[in-house]
Amino acid sequence: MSFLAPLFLLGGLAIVGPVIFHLIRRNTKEKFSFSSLMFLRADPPRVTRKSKLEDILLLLVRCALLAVMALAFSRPFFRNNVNASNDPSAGQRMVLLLDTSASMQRKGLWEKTLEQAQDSLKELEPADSLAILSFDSQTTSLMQFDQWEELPEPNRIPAAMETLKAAEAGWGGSRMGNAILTAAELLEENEHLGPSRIVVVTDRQEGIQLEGLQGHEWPEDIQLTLKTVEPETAGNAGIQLKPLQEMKDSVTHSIRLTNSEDSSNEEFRLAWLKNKQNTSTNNVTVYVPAGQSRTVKAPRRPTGEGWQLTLLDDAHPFDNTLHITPLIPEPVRIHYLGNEQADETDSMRFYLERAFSTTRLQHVRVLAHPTTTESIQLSRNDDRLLIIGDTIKESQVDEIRKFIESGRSVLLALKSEVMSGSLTALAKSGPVPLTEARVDKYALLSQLDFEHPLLAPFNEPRFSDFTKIHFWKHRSLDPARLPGVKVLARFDDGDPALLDLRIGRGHLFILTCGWQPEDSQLALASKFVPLLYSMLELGESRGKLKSNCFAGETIKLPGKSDQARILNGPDGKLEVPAGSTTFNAKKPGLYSLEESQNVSFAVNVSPRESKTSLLPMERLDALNLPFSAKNEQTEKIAQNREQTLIDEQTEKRQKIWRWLIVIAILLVLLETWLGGWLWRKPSGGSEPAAETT
Amino acid sequence: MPEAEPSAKRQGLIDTRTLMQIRSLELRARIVVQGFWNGIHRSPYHGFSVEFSEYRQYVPGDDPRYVDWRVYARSDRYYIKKFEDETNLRCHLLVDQSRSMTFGSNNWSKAEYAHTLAATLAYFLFQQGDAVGLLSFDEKIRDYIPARNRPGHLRQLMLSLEKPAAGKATSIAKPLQRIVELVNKRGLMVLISDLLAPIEELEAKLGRLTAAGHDVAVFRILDPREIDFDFEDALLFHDVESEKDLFIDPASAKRNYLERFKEHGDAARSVCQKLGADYLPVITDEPLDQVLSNYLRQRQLRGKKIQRHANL
Repeated sequence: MSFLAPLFLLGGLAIVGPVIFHLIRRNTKEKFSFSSLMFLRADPPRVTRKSKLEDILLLLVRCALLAVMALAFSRPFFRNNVNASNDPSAGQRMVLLLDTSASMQRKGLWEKTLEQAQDSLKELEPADSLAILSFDSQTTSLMQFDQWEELPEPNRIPAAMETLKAAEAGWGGSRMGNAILTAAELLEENEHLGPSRIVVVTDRQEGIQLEGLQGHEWPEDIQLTLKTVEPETAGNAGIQLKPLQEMKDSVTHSIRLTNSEDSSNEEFRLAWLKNKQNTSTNNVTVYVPAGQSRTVKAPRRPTGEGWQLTLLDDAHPFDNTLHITPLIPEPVRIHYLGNEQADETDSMRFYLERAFSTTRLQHVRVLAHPTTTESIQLSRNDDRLLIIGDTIKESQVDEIRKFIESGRSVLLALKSEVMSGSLTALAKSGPVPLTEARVDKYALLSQLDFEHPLLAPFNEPRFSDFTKIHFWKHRSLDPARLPGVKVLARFDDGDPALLDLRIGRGHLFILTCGWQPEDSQLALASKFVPLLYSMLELGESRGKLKSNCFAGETIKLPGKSDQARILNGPDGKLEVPAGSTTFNAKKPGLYSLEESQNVSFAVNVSPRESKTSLLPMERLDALNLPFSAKNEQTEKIAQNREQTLIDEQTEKRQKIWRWLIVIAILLVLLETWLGGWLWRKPSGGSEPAAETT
Repeated sequence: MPEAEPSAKRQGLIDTRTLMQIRSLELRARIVVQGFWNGIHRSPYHGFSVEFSEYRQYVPGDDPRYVDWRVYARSDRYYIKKFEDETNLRCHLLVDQSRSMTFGSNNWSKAEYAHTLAATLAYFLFQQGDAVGLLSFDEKIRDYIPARNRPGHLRQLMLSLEKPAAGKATSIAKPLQRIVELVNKRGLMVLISDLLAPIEELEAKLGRLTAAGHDVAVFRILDPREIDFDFEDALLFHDVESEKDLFIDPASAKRNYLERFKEHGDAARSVCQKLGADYLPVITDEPLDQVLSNYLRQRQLRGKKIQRHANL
C-alpha cells in the first residue's frame, strides 16, 4: 500500500491523546466543589489506581477512529501491476531527430552527429521504444515505432544503428520547427502512459527555421533534448544569386556574399570553375567582415558549358558553388483580331503593338489577324492573350472559347455597336443590345473594383487614380443580360466600362469602348500598359519556371504530362512520375527536362544554410520548448512529479479514502453510543456532581 | 436541636422542595408566612408577639406628655404609655453572601435557602408592621438597606436578596462591626450565615451587638452533606472560597471531619448562649415554616426564662 500524502499519517500520533485522557480523566471527573475545607486535612492520594486505563473498549474505538481518519487523509492506494507501464523506467518513447540539412555537410559534422545519435541509442532500456526521423526542409521517417516494436528485442538497437549509418546529410534547409512538431505529433498519436522524449541532434546553426514552435501547447509528458554538434573549424561564407529582376544585364551576375559571425576569414575569391578546376584568370577578391554580407558583381562568365561560380578560400565548401542557368527569355505571343493596318496611328492595333515590348524575361510578339481569318491558331503554349478589336466570324467563336476555357484571357473591345453579335456569340447568352452612350464632353471611370485580380495592382493610393483618363465615346449595355458577368469598372454615368465574364478557367474581359484616340485617352494613359500586362499575367502560364530554386524545395514543373518525364540532374537522369507536376530537388545543381531544352532550372543551397554561427540558446528558451531537465537533480524532481501524477490518478481510481471515511463515521457513531451507554451505566452508585450556582 | 442529627425528612406544612422551585423570592416568603398564619390557630403557642408593650407607673421626672390619661381616668393612677415608635421592632437581617453559601447537595444551594429564610422573616415582620433592614456581606459589605416599614421597601429587600452569592471568603467581623456603627437604635439583629469562619471573631463582634442592646438571633445554614459527610470514593475536594484542591479519602477523613465540625458548631452555640443570643442551626432541607415557628418558640421560651429569672 502506498500513500499520496504520507505526512497525514503523523495524525495517527493523535492516538496518544485518548490514551492520556483515559488515564487522567479519573482525576478531572472526580473533582468535587465543597463549601469549605477548614475541617479537612490533606490526605495522600492513592496513586495505584491512577495508572489504570478506564473503559478500554471506548479507548480502543477512539484510537481506531483517529487511526482511520489519519489513514483516510493520507490517501492510500495500491500500486497494482496493471499500471506497471506507468513506471517511468518501464518504457519511454523516444523520437530521435537528425538534422540532415546542408550545413551538416561541413567537415566532420555528420560523424559527430552519428556519434551523438548512437549515444542516445545506448541510453535506451529494453522496454523503451524508438522512432528515428531526419529533417532538412522536409521531415523524413527513417524508422517508425511500429518497425521498432516488430523487431525482436536483441535486434532493435543494431537495426537502429544500421538505420543511422544509412542516413546521410542532405542539401536542404533546416526546418527544425516543423520537424519537432512532427515528432511531437508522432508521440501524441497513440496514448502512452510513460514519458516521451524528443532528442534532436543538430548543428543549431543560426539559419535554422523555428516557425510553428512559438505558442505551441506542449503536452506535459514530452521532453525535448537538444544535442548540439559543432564543426572543427568555425566560420563559413556562402554565396547566393540576387534576384534576376534586380540585375541589369544577363552577362554579369550580382552575387550576395554572406560571412557568418564566427568566421575568422574575411577575404574571399570568386571564380568560375569548370569541373572544379580553376582555369579562368579573372578571379574577384572580396573582402567581407564576419557577420556581414556584401553584394558584388561576379566575374564575367567564360564562354562554353559547364562553368560554375565558386567561392574560394572558405572553410566549408558546401555552399560555395552557385549554379546559374543561362537566361532565356520566355516567349509570349499576343494575338490581335482586327482589320486595321499596322501603320494606322488612330487604330487600336497601333497602340497595342507598342504597349508590349520585349524584356529580358519575356519575348513578346504581337500577331495581328484580319477578321476574315478562318483560324487564329491559338493552340501553342506561348499563346497568352487574344484581343478582339472587331466583329468576329462565327467560325472563330469555338476556337476563341476553347482558348478562354483553357485558362487564357481574351479582351473584347467593343469599339462599335455592331460588335453586339460577337459579344453574344462569345458569351453564349441571349442578345445583348449595344447602344452608343450619350456622353456630355467626356466620361470618367468610377467604381473600380480593386479587389479583382485584374485591378489589384492598382490598389494603392498612388496608382488608383483613373480620373485623368477621359472617354469621349462609349457603348452602353445591360450587364443583367450577361449571366455571371462581373462589372469591374463603370463610367461616371453608371454604364459599365469593364466587365469580366469567366468562361472555363479563363476570363473574357469586355471593354465597352476602344482605346483609339477617337474613343478615349486610354491608350495614352499610364494605366494602359500595366492593365494589359495584368491581363496577360492572369492567363495561366504553361512554360514559365522559376529559374533559381533551393535544394529541398518542391519545384513546380511546367506543363503536365500523362507519361513519365525524364529530368537531367547533377546525378544523372531522374524520372518524374506520370501526372506529377512537382519535383523535389534533393541536390543542388542544374536540372533540365528532357522534352524541351528551354525548361531548365538551377537548384542551389538555401542561403539560410550559410548562416552557420550557433543559434543562441536564449532564442530557443524564448520559445518555451519543453527542454528536459538540465541536471540530474531537476530530472529527479521531474521524475518524482511524474510519479506523483500517476499515483494521483491511481488513487483517484481506487478511492480507498472514501471507504475509510465511511468506517470513520461508523466508528464515530459507535463511540457516541458507547460513550452514552457507559455514562448512563451506574458506576459505583455515585450521583452526578452537584450543580453549583 | 442537635446539629449532628441525620438529615431525616422533617415534616412541615410546606414541602421545601416544592417551595424552592418557586422562582420569586417574595412569593416563597408569602407562602411560608401565610401557611404559618393559617397553622397558627391550631398552634398551642398563640397569643405572643414579637412586640412587647408595657405600661409603667409614673415616676417623677417622666415626661407628663406620656401619661395615659384614660388609664388614669379608670384607675386613678398615673401610667406612662410607650410611644408606638418605640414599641415597634426594628429588625436587621445580616445575610452571608460568601461563596461557601453556593454549596448545596439538594437542588438548591445554601444561599438560596438563606435568601428564602431572610425573605420569609422580612415578610413576616413586615406584615406585623415592623421595620426591616438588610445587610448582605461576604468578606466585605455588599448591600445595606436601612430598616424601614413603608410600601415598596419589601420589594427592595427582595431584589437585593436575589443577587447571587459571589464573595470569596466569609468575614463576619466586619459586617458586625459596621452594623454596630450604623444602627444606634435598639433592635433585632438576625444573622443568617453558615458561620464557616473562625469562631473567635464571631464572639467578639456578637458581644458588641448584645452590648449595644440588640436582640441577636443566629441562623446557621447547613447542608445535609456538610453535616453527614457521606462520601464514598476518594475525591479531589475543591474549596469554592479559597480555590484550593485537596485530595480526600472520606473513609479515613470522615471521623476527623465530623469531630471538628461538631466542635465548631458547639463553639458557636456556646458563644451564642454566653451572649444571650438565639442560636438556630438550620439544615437546608428543613421546612421554613417550621424554622420560623421554632424560632418564635425559642424566643418565647427565652422570654419566659427571663421572666422566671426576674421572678427569682
